[in-house]
Amino acid sequence: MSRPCDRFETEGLLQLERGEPLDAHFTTCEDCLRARRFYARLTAELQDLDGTLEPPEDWRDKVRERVASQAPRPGRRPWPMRFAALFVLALGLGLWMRSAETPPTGLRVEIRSSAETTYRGDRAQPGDSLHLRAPADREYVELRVYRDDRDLVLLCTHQAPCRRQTSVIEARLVLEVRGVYRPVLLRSSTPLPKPTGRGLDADIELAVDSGATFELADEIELL
Amino acid sequence: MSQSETVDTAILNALDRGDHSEALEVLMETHGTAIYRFCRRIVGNDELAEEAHQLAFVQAYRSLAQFSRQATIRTWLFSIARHRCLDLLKSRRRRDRRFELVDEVPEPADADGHADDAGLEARDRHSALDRCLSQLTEPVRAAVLLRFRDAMSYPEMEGIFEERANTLQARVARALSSLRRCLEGAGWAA
Repeated sequence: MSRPCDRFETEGLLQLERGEPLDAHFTTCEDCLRARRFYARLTAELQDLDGTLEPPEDWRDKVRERVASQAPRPGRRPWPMRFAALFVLALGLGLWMRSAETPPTGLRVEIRSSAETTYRGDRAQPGDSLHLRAPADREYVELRVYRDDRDLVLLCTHQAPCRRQTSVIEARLVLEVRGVYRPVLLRSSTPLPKPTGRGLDADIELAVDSGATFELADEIELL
Repeated sequence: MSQSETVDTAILNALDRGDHSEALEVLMETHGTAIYRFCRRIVGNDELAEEAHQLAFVQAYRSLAQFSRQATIRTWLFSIARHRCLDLLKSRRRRDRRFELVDEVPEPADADGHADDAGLEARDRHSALDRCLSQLTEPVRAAVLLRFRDAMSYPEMEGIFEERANTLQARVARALSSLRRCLEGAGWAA
């Protein structure tokens, strides 16, 4: 008994998906015709999949509530609000002019592509870099990055690749190994304990026990 | 002008007027159900699907001002929804790692654990399709669903997966082949 022809699966499907005409073979080969009928049926079933599935009735209200709970967007404010916004803007400009570099109020994380032109949100690609910036408002401040909650891949105190100024600490980490990265900021008025080597949770627990405060940034996934 | 283009125009006009609330309403009216069905298939349960669905529209509202107009609204919205689904799945995995959970046992194909007739009832056929789809990895399942259920073109899908059309075409073709093997094992007749 000969093996059935599988050319439709290895070639025909791709031709169809690419929108190319099918080879003549596929109009005469019984195995291929059978396969083609199967896929026609499968794709028809996929089209009808979940045809009756609907979101909960009140989902729009929930989205509106979530949106309304955020700050109002600019552009449609009444005049008093616009004056208030202008006042705040002027005040902010004045403060900015008094201080060339305003320290951040918390841990800030940006993902930049290698060209340093793209900001990718919470997902990165190999070669992207993480840029961390935080206020150095205590005597002992550290920026750390853990991979998969386990491996400490960046420990930044004051040496390279870190930069600490009077009020700001900054670090940069190029992402090359696939995983989930978690930046952490530790601050303390006493020396911070060394990493335990047992991962993020153990390190934070030890730091907090020593009197430090910590701030966790959102996870960044390197695909 | 197609229906999709008409909807995009309505949303873009609302954006041009600075009326983001109106744009959100049109988005929800037009894409609400499709996005929910997509999320449900990606995350695999109602609770997470409802959360991802709502988060997708909330984030879309927040990001309307940054919409670059290089992609269609639908592509942009599905991309947001997929990322929110993946975020929730990631959070769920983290939680599951921290707390020991009892594994859920999938239901067998039938009482004997297999199906062998060529005439499966429609419900059984859908059930088999559900199971086989759930065995695909997320990027593969998402590509198959967007291609066939949502009738999305490969150039549109490029924007969602950040991959080239050729790659996606090959992925979908391989996925169909996997689905066939799985479905025939579940009793779908050739």
